[in-house]
Amino acid sequence: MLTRNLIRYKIYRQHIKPQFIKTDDQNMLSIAAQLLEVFQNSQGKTRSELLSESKLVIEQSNCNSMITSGLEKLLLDRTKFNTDTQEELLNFRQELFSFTSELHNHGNFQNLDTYYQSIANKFQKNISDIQNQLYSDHPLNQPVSQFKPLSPERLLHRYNCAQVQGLFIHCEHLTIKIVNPDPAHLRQLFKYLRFYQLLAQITELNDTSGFQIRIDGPLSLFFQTQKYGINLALFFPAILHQKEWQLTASIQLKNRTVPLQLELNQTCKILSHYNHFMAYIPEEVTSFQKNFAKKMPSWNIQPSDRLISLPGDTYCFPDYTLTNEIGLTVDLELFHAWHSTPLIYRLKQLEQTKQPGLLLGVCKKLLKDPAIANDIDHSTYFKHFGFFFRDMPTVSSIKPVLETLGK
Amino acid sequence: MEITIAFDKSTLLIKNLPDQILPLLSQVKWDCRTGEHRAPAYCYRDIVLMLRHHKLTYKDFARQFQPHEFPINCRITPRAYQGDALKAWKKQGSRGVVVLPTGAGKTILAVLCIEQTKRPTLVHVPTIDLMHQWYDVLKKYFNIPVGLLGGGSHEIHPLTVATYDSALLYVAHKGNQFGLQIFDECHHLPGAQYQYAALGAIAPFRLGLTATPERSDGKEHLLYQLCGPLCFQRHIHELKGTTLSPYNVVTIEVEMQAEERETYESARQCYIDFLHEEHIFMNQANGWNIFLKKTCQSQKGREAFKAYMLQKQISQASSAKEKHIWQLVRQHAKDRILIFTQDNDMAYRIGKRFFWPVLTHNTKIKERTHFLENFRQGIYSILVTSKVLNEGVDVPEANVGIIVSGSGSIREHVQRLGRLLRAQEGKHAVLYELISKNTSEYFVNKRRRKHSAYQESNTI
Repeated sequence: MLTRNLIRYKIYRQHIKPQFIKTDDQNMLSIAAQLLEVFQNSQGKTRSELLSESKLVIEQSNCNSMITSGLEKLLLDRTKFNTDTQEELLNFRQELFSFTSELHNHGNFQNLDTYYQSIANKFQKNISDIQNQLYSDHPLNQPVSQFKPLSPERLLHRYNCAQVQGLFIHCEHLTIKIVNPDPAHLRQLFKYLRFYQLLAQITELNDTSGFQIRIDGPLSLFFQTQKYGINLALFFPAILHQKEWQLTASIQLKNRTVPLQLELNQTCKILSHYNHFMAYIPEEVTSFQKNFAKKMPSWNIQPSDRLISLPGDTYCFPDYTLTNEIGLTVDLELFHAWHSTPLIYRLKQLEQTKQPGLLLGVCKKLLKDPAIANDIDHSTYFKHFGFFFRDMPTVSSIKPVLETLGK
Repeated sequence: MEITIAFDKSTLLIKNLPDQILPLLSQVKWDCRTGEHRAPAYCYRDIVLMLRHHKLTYKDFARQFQPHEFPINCRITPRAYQGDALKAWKKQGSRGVVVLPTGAGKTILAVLCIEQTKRPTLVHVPTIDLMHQWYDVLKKYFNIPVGLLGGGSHEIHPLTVATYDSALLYVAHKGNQFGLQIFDECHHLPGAQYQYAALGAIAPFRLGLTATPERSDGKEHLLYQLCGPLCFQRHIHELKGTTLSPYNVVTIEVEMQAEERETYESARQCYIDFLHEEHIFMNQANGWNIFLKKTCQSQKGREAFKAYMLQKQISQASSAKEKHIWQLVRQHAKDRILIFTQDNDMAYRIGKRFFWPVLTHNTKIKERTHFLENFRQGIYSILVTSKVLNEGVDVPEANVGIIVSGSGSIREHVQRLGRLLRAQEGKHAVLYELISKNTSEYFVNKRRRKHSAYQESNTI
């Protein structure tokens, strides 16, 4: 991510506009390629060598150095340095400092030249060699151990994305409108929302063409806070996966009395660097599906792409949809050990409904939390439509609930 | 329906709250995002007291701690003011801020508070060095396993020390496991992020400790809101010579060498000319940001930025200053000397020039502990540092400080002075400040000397 001094924006009236770069601009692509070349060939070079080479590109580029320094920063974030200090160097320092302290304690600090001479004699080395060796593990001297490459075009997209993220750090809340949503994409968006521990208030648009989602965190209810700025910044690339969206964020910069509005939509055309994790299906999930098909042939189970409306203007994205031979369809939502808060919310929402549309699978580890144990104990909904599992649900754990439903 | 209170990511979820109680709890709000009543976690004490006051029964799922005995292993005889501070804190319902100068025994006061409060305790500290220092003290007095959060450790015990940064990562999930929160160097607490370490925890008992509660942003009120009101205060001059060592502050005005002066003047002129040309006023609130932005836009701007850096560097670390450092160190043979710089570069430059140990945030834990230990034992007599020793770390053996350069912050200087003032028999501390004559440093120095600790000082 970029530091505040590398964020470029313009303010007009109460609006703030990030200054994007054109990702197809040949000049920018060429600068990005030159910087990438420096970083790709940096293996084994010290940080100081790497920085002086990239500085050369920056100075020769004729481009605003805020942009080039921003690109450099993003590349540095993808670079790993070897930060180990050799035992030999630690011992050398220890010996040297004990010696110079001894000279000091005995009042043997006369003039600098004789002091240097004593040190050179003691270590049988040239004084400038000792000087160079002394802090040779300083960060500037650390060698590059790894660089994660990317294409010049992707780097420019990352830069534009980082411009928005840098402002989101100072964001109090944001509102997204998603029009004609693809349920699979929307579901992914909510998974990211949950992952970054944000809360959302969802309302359907008047013309039912989509949703308006206001996003902030638990404490945002009580005061204007930028506490969730970093969560919102990390969440932003997930929005870029949606097809049609509009975003309004409230940005509170230091030295500004009133928050500024940031508005953005899909025309910004920034490519997200987050993967579509829908494509990846863990092995245990596949094996659960296989077992299910084998042991309960009367039911068909599929990963869900449905969006279910729940009481109180809330929505749920179940994990699976199950259909039996007579056409009865139910959804299944799983709550793993790290889903304590969503489970508390869900039980509360389902208290008000008696429609058995949603089955709840709850990991037993969640019962360690007494508040959850109490809620489950008192939930009549869970008694009828819930079941427990250890790490992953098994067919035997879900079977009794499905059988009751069938009746 | 019975009232229930649960903890959720730094907030409290309250169910079945009777309507007549709601207006009395101004911090409890209806959360339409989740369809429940919610309050910030730090309101736990007020909510519970209110329910008890109205004799309402409730189920408390939020509190995940029980009373816990912490017997002290060896006898402590508190100094009179420590006893008074403890009394004042307890009188305020075991909440509040105690202001004592560095070296006056804030940690011992905290040990007494932990023993008497009898609740699992989380101590917050700003640095890893301080975390280890607190760990040693708590281990010594309580002789039980002490947890650590920070610097690669993730172990929680009923008695745990955490850096503010690590505590922030844990508070959303573990903010209901401690009954007493102690905030060392608590002037940090009102910071934009750190405040959530206190806001997001339910601990009904809280102790803030600092030598300097003043904040340049004037947010002290938030400190008192989160920790409880100020309950006890002693100033540095009130304890000087009794609990703290007697001391002198000596300011040395350093004349730059002719060649350096010339480079300084021309660099400064280049920087000032750029400000004039671009109509930038550095005394404006966003002057610095405008300057940075403009310097990126042209070759001339980039040169002006380089010139700015050069004149700053020369004024803060001229060769003439290095000569003075050498003279002072020679003058103080057999003394234990701390040398403070404004940034790491300068610290390493001095360390490399004179072959002295340098302690910065880059120094790894093992070597850092080793440097401090050797300094305390006298194996090393000189330690160069930038800002990592500004706060809290005990080096009672140090008796001479040399400030090569620093910011205008009063707190930074009072704290640097505090490093030297831990009382030891026969100790007389001296703090030297090296100021480049006729440079902007002179005004920076003037700003920070407003504190009472600097009232008795000499200028050479």
